[in-house]
Amino acid sequence: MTASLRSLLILGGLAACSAPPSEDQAEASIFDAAFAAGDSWQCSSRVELSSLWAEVRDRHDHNGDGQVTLAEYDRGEVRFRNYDRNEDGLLDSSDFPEDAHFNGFNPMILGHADSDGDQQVTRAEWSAFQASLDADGDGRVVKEEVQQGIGGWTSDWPLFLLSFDQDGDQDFDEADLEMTFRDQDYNGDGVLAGAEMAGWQPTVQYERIEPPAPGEIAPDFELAYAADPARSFRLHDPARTRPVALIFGSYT
Amino acid sequence: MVIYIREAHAMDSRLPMMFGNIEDPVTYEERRVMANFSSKELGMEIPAVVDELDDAVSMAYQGWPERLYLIAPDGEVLYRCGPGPFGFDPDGLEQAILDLR
Repeated sequence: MTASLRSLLILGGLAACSAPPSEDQAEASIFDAAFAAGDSWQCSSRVELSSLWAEVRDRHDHNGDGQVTLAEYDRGEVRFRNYDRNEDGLLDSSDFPEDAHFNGFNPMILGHADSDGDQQVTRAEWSAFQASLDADGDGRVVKEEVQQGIGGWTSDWPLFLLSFDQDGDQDFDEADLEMTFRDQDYNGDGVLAGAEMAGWQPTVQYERIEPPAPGEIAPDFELAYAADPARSFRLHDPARTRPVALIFGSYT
Repeated sequence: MVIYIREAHAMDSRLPMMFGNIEDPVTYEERRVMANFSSKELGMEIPAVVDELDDAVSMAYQGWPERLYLIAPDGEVLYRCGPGPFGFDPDGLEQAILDLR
C-alpha cells in the first residue's frame, strides 16, 4: 500500500484543483525501490521469518525467557495463532525457522498456479507454472521471461518475481521451488493448501459484496478525522457543492 | 479524503510485509495514530478520516486493501477503480477529475 499511497502524492495537487502533474511524476515507477542498484530483487515484501520473530519477541516476550505465551501476547488469540506455526500454544524460534522466508505476494501467485482449481497447489502444478514462464527452456525463469509471461495481465509482474526468488540469485528455478515448498508446506503433505497458501491464518475475513458502481448512490457514512477526532466528515452533506475523491488505504 | 482502513500488510496479518514492522491495530485509537503516522511519513496533505474497527465503511465500499472513488455532491458515484493492488488506478481517478472540467 505504501507504493499506492505514494502514487497518490501526484493526485494531491488535483484534489486541491491545482495544476496537473508533470509527465515525469505521472510515470514514476512504483518499482523503483525494488529494482534499485541494478537488478536487485530485494524489497520489503520479502519477510525473513527470523527477523519477524525478533520483532515479535522484542514486543511481547516480557519475561525474557525466549518464548511468548498467550498471556504475554496482548493482541488477541487470532493474531497469536497466526504466528504459532507448529500449533504448540507457544511462540518461539521454532515457529520462525532461521533461513525461511515468506513473501506477502505468495498467495496471489500460488492461486494462479492452481491449474485444476482444487484450491491446492502441488509440486507438479508449481513446476508446470514455472515451466510455462521459462521461454528459453534453460530451467531458470528470469526477469524478462516473467515480464513476457505475466506482464500481459498484470503491471505488478516484478512483485510476483520478487516473491519466488527464495535464494536471491535473481531467477526462480528448481532450487527456489524446493525452498517455497519447504517454507510453506507446514504439515509436510507435499501440497500447499488453505492456510499454507495464505502463509498465516487471516485476522479478518472480508465478505465479498458488489461495491457501489458509477451511476449508483454511494452509501452514506460519517467518520472522525484522524488529526481532530472531535470533528467528523459526512459523505451526504447537503452543504457540499464539490465532488469528493475517496481514497481507501493504509500505511502498509 | 483519505479513508484510513485496516492495514494491508501488518506483520501479524495474512500477508505480512515489513514496512516499518506495523502490527494490525486492535483499538480505534491505535488506528487513528497509524493514520496520522502514515500521513506524516508519506508527506500526504490530503485529510484523513478513520474507519471504525468493524471496517463498516471499508466493507460497504470494498475498499480494502486500497481503492479510489469519485463521488458527486449529490452522492452519485462518478468513478470507481478496481480492487487494489492490481486495480488501483490513480490515472483513472485523475482522468475522472479532469473530465469534470
